Amino acid sequence: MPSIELRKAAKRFGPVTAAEDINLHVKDGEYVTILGPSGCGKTTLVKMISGIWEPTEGGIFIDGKDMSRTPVCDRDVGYVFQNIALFPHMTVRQNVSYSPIVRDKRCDAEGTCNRMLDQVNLAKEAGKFPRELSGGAQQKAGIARALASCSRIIIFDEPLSALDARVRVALRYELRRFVKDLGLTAVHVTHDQEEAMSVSDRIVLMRAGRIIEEGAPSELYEKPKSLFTANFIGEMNFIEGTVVERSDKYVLVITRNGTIVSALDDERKFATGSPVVVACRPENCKITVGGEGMPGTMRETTFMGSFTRFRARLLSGEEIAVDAHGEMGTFKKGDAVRVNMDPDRCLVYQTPREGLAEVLKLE
Amino acid sequence: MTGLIVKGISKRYGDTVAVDDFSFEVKPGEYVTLLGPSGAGKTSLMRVISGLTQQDAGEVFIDGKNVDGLTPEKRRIAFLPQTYSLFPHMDVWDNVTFGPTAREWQKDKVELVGREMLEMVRLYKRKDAFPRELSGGMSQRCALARALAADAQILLLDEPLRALDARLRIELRHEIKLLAKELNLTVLHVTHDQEEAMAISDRILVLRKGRLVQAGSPKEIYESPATPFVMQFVGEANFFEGKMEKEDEGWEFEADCDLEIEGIAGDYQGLGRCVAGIKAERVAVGDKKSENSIEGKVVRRLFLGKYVMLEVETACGPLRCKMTASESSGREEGKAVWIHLPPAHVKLFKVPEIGLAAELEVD
Repeated sequence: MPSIELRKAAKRFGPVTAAEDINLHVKDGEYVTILGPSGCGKTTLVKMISGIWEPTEGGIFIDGKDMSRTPVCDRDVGYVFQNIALFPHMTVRQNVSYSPIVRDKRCDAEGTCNRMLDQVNLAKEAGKFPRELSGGAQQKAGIARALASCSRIIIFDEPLSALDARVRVALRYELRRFVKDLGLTAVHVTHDQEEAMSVSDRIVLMRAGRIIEEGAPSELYEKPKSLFTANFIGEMNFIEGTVVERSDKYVLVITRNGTIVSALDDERKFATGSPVVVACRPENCKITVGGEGMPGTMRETTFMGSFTRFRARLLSGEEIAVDAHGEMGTFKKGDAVRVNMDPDRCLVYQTPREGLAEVLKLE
Repeated sequence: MTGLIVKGISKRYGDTVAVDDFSFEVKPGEYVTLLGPSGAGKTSLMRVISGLTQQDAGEVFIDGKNVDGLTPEKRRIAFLPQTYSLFPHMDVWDNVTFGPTAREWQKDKVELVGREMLEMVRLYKRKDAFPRELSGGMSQRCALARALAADAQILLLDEPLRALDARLRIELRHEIKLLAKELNLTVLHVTHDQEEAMAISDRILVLRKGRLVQAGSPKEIYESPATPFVMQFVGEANFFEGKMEKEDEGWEFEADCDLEIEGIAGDYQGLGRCVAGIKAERVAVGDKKSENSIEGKVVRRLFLGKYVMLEVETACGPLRCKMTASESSGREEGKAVWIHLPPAHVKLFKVPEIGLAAELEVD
């Protein structure tokens, strides 16, 4: 059964480094997502796994065997493309049975094709040509074609990016099911953090050619180790300040507006006097009129369906987003308000030397 | 400020009806979104309004005047297409001042407008850069500045964020909205992304197959959907077919599967066979049977960050239940649960003529 390992892998194109120092172990049967902004090297990484590109340095091991110099056709990796890439002159059935036939595989072409068409719920459309199908159905055919190669490793390269938002939501539920039902090892590349969270066992977050952080979706969302992760995966409010006091579990931080906020630091990472950034998700903040908290003015209220998004500007200038699932009251633009962050759901980071804005940059 | 009125527009391409007798109004200074799946006719409508395509029937009014005989440049509409179409051989400055220069404005005025627009989108420092040197977000902002520099009265945005990373889209949609409000622009924005539509619009027009299905504020569209399609497209929902029966205590919905929902307010005389819908975040998941509840087993648990989505297998098929992470604690895959359907959140619809399954297709 296949596992994938990259050891110190790097890919350079002349003077440009697309990816470097990549150490990654994808376990057998695991669903791993490579997440990051455009140009972070995530596609380079999977192209090294599939054999489309050879690593400039380091090694790629599949099932423990060094495959670094093995060409793409001998790697036995299924690939689903962003732009779908079905053969337009072939029916869905011909597309799906293409790889078992050309690859002269151990699996019988017809049986495999039928099973995969059933798996993606396209059996009824088997006789149609790609242009007769909707975007979502075309990509399902693309997935069935990759699954029918009988490869035990499947790579999804931005498989949902070309589809409508609503279709993406419907299809991401399916992707994980296909992989788990068939017991495959999957590596999925995306820039969409919500997609990554919903399909993966583990997320590997990349930036500027390197792996920044990895972990289970809930770990990266709830306890991100870096500021970049905190901002990239879900939305986050950031407040800069200085630790003025600490107790066993909490630090008290004086913010730029002079308010003291309390934040959990049970690992005792920060001493009095440390410059820090306190981070808190919009759903863990509250807005009130009067009372305690950081003073500011209401900027905007947006109804988002399952929640309401408030935006307030603190007197010190930071903009804070607050999401309310139930009632939080109604506010008018310009109302004087107070913003509170739940101390137990705040994260504390060291203030970065290069400045907060630089560390959070999305592109 | 200028408003836009569209009256009875129809457009066909051969046998295909792209837009079918479509009418709406965008008031001066209003931000309106055309929301619908691919192929709903959104782009055709934009092309007709901007004058790039001639309609087969109907009229377009800008500022109260019929513009059907006018060429695109005479309509004073800024149209920002999906692909930004910046001129690759011109730098940012020449791209942005292209419209004013082509219109032979005085040199001082061209300088002034160019600078104003570039400062507004925070690209003045990059005015000498060529499009290939810009990131996706910058290209998008440059295209927006170019569209606005031509002294347009109405801004048409055709999926302006589609080509950008998911995380960046969230930032930029907020920026676009702020900019539009600051400049008091009348905006018509096309998207397939319901979350984007909710986040930016004063009013949403939901389209399907060339027709207007519903128009209203984000709250109206979300809370009082006109059809099962709208309810399913704007957020996720669960649906049941059945009938309304009058009991001693009031009206009761009897689903074809093993489910009854009592206490639905209103009068349903004559409705008979119908469809009941409830949003995924409006159901409550518990351990015990209660009124209006159905038994099931958690088959999938998807972590979405702010939310967890459970898929629960029941006698009425798989149901989707959306809740916060803390509310979902202990609801693991394989666990038995009871799903409670609060009658106040149940919406009733006539059975769609095309059948419920076809009605709910989002692709």
